[in-house]
Amino acid sequence: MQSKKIVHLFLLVGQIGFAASTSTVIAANAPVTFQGKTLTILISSSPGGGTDTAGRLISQFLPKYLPGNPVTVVQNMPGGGGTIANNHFYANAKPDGLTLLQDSSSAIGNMNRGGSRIKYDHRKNRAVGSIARGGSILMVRKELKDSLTDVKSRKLVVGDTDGIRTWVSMTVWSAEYLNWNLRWLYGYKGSRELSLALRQGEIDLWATSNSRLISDMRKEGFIEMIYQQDEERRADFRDVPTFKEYLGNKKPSGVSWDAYQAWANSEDLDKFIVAPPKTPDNVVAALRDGYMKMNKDDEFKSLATKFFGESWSLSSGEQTEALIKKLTSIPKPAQDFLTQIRKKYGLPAGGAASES
Amino acid sequence: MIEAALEGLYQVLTPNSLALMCLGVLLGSLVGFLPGIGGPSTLAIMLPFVMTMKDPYAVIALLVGFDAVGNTASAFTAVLISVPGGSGSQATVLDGYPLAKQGQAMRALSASFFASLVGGLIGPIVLIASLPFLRPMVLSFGSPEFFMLTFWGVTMVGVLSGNVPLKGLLAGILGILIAAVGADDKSGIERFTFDTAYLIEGIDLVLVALGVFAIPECIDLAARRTKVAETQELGEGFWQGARDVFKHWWLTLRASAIGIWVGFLPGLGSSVADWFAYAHAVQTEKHPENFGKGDIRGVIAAESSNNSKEAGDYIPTLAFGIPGGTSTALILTALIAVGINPGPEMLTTQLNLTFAVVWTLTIANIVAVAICLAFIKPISRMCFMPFYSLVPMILVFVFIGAFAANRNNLDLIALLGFSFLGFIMRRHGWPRSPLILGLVLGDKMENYLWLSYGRFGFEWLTRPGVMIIAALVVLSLCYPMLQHWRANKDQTGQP
Repeated sequence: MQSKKIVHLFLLVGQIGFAASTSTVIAANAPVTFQGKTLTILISSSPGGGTDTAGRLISQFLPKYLPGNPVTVVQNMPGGGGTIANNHFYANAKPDGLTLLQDSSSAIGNMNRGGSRIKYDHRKNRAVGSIARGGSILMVRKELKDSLTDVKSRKLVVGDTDGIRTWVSMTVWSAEYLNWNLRWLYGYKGSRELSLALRQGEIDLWATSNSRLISDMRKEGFIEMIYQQDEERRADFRDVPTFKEYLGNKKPSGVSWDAYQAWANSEDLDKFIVAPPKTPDNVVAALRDGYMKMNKDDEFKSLATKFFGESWSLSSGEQTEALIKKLTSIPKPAQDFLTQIRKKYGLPAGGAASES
Repeated sequence: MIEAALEGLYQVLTPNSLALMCLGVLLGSLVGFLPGIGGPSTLAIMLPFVMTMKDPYAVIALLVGFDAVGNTASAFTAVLISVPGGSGSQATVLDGYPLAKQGQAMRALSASFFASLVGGLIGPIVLIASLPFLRPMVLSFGSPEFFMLTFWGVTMVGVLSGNVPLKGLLAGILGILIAAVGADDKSGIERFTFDTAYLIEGIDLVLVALGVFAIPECIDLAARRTKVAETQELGEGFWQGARDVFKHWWLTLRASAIGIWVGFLPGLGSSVADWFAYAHAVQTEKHPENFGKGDIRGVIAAESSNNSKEAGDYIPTLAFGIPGGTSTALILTALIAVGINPGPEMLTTQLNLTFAVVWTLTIANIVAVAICLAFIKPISRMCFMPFYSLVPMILVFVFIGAFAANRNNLDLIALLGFSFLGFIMRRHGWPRSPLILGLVLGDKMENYLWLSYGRFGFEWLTRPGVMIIAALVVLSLCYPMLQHWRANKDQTGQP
């Protein structure tokens, strides 16, 4: 009698389990629709910057390509280099595809550096896609180009916000392997202050991916472009060699190059958008599909070109997820090399960092 | 140039552009009137709609019209209920609210709006006049010169302290310490963050200003069980306010010039202009002992500077494509979306667009002041509302304002903390303005000193710009003493 009851109990649990799994499968296979729903896009920065521009651009076009065309609400949650928004999103966003986070690669750098205030894990979020604006281009004041390797003249000043931006890696490796005579001055608030400082001669070298700023300064005629960060030359700056080309046979290999890539490559990720962990596959697929369909929208392409220059590109959710995984798994020797080389040149040491 | 000016005016005066400008002015005035609802947040909401527009002049009309007037209507709440409507009208509270308590709200508001009008008109004129010199002017200010300007600002703590200089100095230091909270931009080292993400970005100025000024006044009103105005009559102060502005025309012009100066220097930030102008007025005007007790000159200085600053903000935006603040950064995004490329071309091939901005700033200011003047009488009656109606209303405004910027519950807790601090300071006669000034300038001072020393060592002290500003600092500190000495001499010389 007792054993019959146990069997019945098992059967019941089994039936409930089957029903639950069946319903999950049905839910997972059911056509996704956002009709009558509100899609909230949380932006991890304040209004006005690159992350905000990317988020607002996407908020305008993504709903067009999602089934049911949801209403979209954009919310800025700045603070802590994206940490506040990331922590909030990771802890509170429901995995229903109705809340997305527009983030920037600086959040990956923060995650790599770790610490108790980091309460999110981008490896568990579901990437929807990313937009990269093209690699940074290093500029030097024209009259100082010949002084780069001149140890008798003063050290040329590389300006930056915090000394950990991805492009700074190129200048550090130039000092190490091309014997450039450099020092780094960081603490500038952002691009506007840095571009002014370069114009004033307060700094001598600076890099940015902002094609508009670069073109303006090029027209003004006081800068020369040295090299660019991407593996391939940007469409809008074809005459500027890549860093790898510039290094030529002086390019290091082994752990040094691994360390360089760990620091420099998060620029490929740039501005990415994610859904929370455990968002169902079919919902993620609908979001990813909508994201990539923007790439065929002429109006989207025209606006993106106006904002980011000709070298912007969209990456799919799958590619973005793979890149996040790669950027968050830096081998220990490369990590140690990074710390040492940063210390050597008086830059903030720590884990790999990235563009904000 | 004249052709470009006429083309710009013609485009701004088309029915479509005019209608959009009026819409922008109405929205800007509403946002300015509501405390804590920042212009940048509203601009960010407008941005996706604006991106779909094709006409650059329409975008300029809507957004520049919106941006130009935010500081005009913000005087309403600053004067009537001691709540700064925006970060540009904090200094208005210092003399505006005491005037409202004395039953002179109409006069204070009228003076505020006419001063705003003068500031708002002078700004664009200076913008045009400075077109040939824009670039060299902006380029002449490096980190050392910015440091000296912030240092100059900090020396003004003394004049904001009234007859309690030691308390003022300590309040200023407390402000600088509060500014030190958060992750250091340079090293990433966290200071006083107690391992919480909330404090990494530092403490928001709006929260401190709302907490330190608004809530203590609410408590005072509720404790006294009264209304703001201590008189029964609204008073016929409308024309008096207008006369005040023209009587103090020289102060209005000087304060407007300070506003433009602060606006065009992209390193000083939007919340400094009114404080600089107010402190300048206290330092240079006769009978400075009346400031802070309901002196109309305090309102005039603050309000003329915060409106002229808006035009100054556009100087680096147009000349270099470098936005002067968050609002101009968002406007820049919208301009790029409609095909305008701010930068050197704005002063050559796209000069007509620059003039469209100038005309919009001018006309929008006139429209905004007309709207505010039209509502001055009914809104001024707010200071006759009994405390049981007014205090809850102010509290709702203040808490919405504190929450709206970041939608973070912790902001409300911080607001309560600063309200308590403000209450204690008010009760024990500690001046609150130096605390705000310390907070506004603290991190800028530190940052510019770091950059100046990092780049030039001690040689930055020998730069001509630094020495000129240092001389001005000494002059501004000595001038009140000289005035005092002269007054004493006159008195003793009298039979």
